[in-house]
Amino acid sequence: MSTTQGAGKPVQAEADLELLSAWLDGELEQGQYSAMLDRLKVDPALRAQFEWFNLAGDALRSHEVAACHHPALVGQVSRALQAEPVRIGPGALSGSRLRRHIATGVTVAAAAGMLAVVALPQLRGSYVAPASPASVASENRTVATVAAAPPAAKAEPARSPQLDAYFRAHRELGATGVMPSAAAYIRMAGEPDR
Amino acid sequence: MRSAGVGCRRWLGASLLGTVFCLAGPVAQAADAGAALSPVEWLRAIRTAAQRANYTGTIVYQRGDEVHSSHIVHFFDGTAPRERVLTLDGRPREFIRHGDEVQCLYPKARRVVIEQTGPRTTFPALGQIGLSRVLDHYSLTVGDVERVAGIECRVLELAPRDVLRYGYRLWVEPQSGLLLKVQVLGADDAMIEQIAFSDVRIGETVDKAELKPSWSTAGWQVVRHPSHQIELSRQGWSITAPEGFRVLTEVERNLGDEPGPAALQAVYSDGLATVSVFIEPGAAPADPAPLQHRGPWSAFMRRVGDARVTVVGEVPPTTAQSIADSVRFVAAH
Repeated sequence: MSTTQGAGKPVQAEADLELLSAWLDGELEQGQYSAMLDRLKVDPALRAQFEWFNLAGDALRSHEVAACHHPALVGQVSRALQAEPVRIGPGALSGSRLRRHIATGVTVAAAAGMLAVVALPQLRGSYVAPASPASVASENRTVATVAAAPPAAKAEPARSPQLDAYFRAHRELGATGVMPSAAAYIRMAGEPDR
Repeated sequence: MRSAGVGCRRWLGASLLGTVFCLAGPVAQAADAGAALSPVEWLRAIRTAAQRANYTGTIVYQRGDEVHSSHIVHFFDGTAPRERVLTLDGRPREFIRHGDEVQCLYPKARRVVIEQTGPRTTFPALGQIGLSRVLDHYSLTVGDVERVAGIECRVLELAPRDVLRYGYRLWVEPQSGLLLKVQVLGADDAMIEQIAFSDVRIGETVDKAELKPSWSTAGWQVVRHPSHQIELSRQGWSITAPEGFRVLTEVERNLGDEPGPAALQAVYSDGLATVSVFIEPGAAPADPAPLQHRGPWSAFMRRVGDARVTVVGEVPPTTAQSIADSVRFVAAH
């Protein structure tokens, strides 16, 4: 089977996508259905394509579920959104079932791209700071930042284990700011166990 | 500044009835004089209460869309504060303080992590930096009376005098001086973080049994983070903190719960906000992924020679960055 596995969604031979699409739609004969099932068991590339379709469906149905199952989805669909030509239109939808799925894929990518920008930061408690002069990432420096102060209504990026040790050590010796001393520990309620 | 709020009338009424109860607390003495405490006196009252008040209650913590509740018991035994914090949602865990030592209990992991916090963690550096110096960098305004957990509190605003710091809004129970609610404020007074009592009992006798852990920790793993004092300058490091920030401590320590290379940590404070500078000679390069802020904390990482320098603190990102940029290796003495 001809496949390529890039940084984005899996890329599958068109005939296989056609079959997979039909299988997902429940339109295959029993024999073809079983054959596809067997292939999915042994063909990682085809299975990856299948999972991508499912995740895309999850993204449409539930952004939260998709993000939990596949954190990289946001990046994938964003790249897909940029890479995929827009094929939405009466002409584009005519013909093969594959084209219909590709059109759906574009829609999914658009939806997930939007969720990456708008919905996920709120749903996942992640605030992706916009690029700004204060957001520097040169070869020897990285900065966590918002331009002036983190917007109160926006949540923060997903927790980085790399920083956990620093935050803990700071809390231990660096106190709690103006908060009562207990705040140092109350703030930890959402952190994983040590 | 208001001269007489609802809370003040409460104390005035009490005194008219011939009782001196209302004058017993550190703030109440000036309450019917109309919130006439000076800014330094307000800060002193808050600092004293944070260390010495006895109270029991439920605290609700909010940061973005994250909300957690905890039960707290705080008791001053005459020499040191004792405290027990129990999380009420999420994973069960408890934090038990006796003086400067805090035992962090993780029952699912069957682990106790023992931290030495130091006295500065109680309304932190007010005692070390000096109350009047705090007001060099924050202006304190006495506001109205508002209720928190059913108790009338005086609202105080601590506004930063520059862009290096965040602001704070405090709700102070006037008789005890205890903070019942605190907000950390960013630009345009946007709330970054809030902690508030939803119910509280102040000044009642605390049953010492309430300070004991919920679980027997026999057989649990015990983890300590030993550290020892150092002088960064003697090791060749130079840090220039922004105006108003003074060094509280400099230590060499292990950062993780497992043994590993030692890190140098310097802690700075302006009396309200604190910043830690971590220097790890020979550490792997910084993660190229963007680092982050968490509520009021900002983090900034860079390399200086072969060392990884990380700044974490309750300050705006630009302040953390400026501190990190000031780190230099001069020469070991």
